[in-house]
Amino acid sequence: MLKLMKYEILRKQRLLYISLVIVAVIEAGIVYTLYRGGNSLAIFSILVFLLGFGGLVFILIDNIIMYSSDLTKKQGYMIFLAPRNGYQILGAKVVIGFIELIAGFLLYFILMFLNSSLFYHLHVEEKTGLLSLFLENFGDILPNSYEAFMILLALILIWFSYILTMYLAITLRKTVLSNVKFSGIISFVFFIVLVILISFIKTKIYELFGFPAFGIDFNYDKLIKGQLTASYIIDSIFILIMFFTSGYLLNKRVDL
Amino acid sequence: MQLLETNHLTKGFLSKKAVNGITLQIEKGKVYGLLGPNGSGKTTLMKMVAGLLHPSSGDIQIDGKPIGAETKKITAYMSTENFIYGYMSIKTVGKFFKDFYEDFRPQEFEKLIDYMELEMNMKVASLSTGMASKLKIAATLSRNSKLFMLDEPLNGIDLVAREKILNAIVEKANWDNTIIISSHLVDQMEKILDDVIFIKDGEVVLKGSAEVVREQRGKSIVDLYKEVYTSC
Repeated sequence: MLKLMKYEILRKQRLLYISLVIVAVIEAGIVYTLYRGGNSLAIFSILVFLLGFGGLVFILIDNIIMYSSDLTKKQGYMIFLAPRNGYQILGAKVVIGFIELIAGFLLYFILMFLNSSLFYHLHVEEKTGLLSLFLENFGDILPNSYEAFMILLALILIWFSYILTMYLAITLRKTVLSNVKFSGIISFVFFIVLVILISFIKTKIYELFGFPAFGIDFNYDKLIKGQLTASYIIDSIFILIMFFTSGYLLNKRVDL
Repeated sequence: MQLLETNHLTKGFLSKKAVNGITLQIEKGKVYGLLGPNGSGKTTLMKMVAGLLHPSSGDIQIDGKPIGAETKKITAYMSTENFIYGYMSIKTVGKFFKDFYEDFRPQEFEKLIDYMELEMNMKVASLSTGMASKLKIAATLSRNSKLFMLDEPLNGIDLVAREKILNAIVEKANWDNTIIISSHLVDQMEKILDDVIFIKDGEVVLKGSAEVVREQRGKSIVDLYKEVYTSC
């Protein structure tokens, strides 16, 4: 599987360089708006959001395109002719996708830490009272580092389960409707159906254990011990089910 | 001794069958010509043996094993389409094959790349159709596989290079391996074939030693091909 992962990385190399350049440009924009201050801080907020949410969407789309092109384009023959089974091929993609997601989160948080330090240095330090006013009003609902890490972990798992859901949707589409037009749209419909189905099952499980399915409890200790722990377990189970179903289909049913 | 066996192999739905109940025994140490016009089922049959397509019914065994990771270790399939990743250089293609196939011979690959007048630092994405075809053949023939399947190996290749490719295929043939070649260019292939398999509408219509078929029918393989498929 390591060799498969090696070639997954090589395939992504060029895209990785391009995305790093984009990140650098957005970050330069963030730093510039921070220095300018005033109304520019509105643009600063947009750029911070763009870097975070845009990055997550970018990782999702990148994983979808890579997987989909291996199943629909002739270049995919190269790995599917190699003496490896469907689980190994999918496993390599999933591990690289997960590493990509973790690396993306890490890069984002390092940049945000630097940006917030700069923000504090430029705009909060002199205007005493602004930070204390913020902490006075919102200090109670802010998580500590451990709690923030646990919430982040749940977010990563949720996002990762979306990637796996999309993999399963593409694999199902390729299994049931191998060579049809509008394959991307059909895969997306399969994805939506799967997301609705999985959300329904998750909600039922949460209800069964008495956790609120939606919303967040600001009692973090209770949240981590209850809802988040359930979320780790349930999401991990769904990730495993989706992985093994897709791997089985790749081995036994998918025609390239 | 048999290397490849298919039993009542079918691919397709209801009346639309690309391969329709093919039962074949392919022996070791021979070069087979899988002949037939477009849409006769040659590529579908090869792709099922390579493990890229799954049969609707029937079964396939290579060296006594069902199709899977184990049979892929001993099968070298060259698709008619360009299946090599565009981001790779020719050198990376060699590394990829070395990483995944134990029977890959890097020195043979270097020799074949040189013979095909290609260069190691060339990018796959920048190769012309003919050059990409030469690369596919060089990479496939650099393996020491038991079973070679070459789907239209002369497609997109100029006349001079065709001779080179046929020579490379002949050099690869030995008593321990089997080479199956599908082609429309029967006249160019005829001289290197030991056995021929004529496929029509997903079914085998004629199979046998090229020499015996020629003697029995009193015709060359090319003339026989025209006779079998004229009514298509």
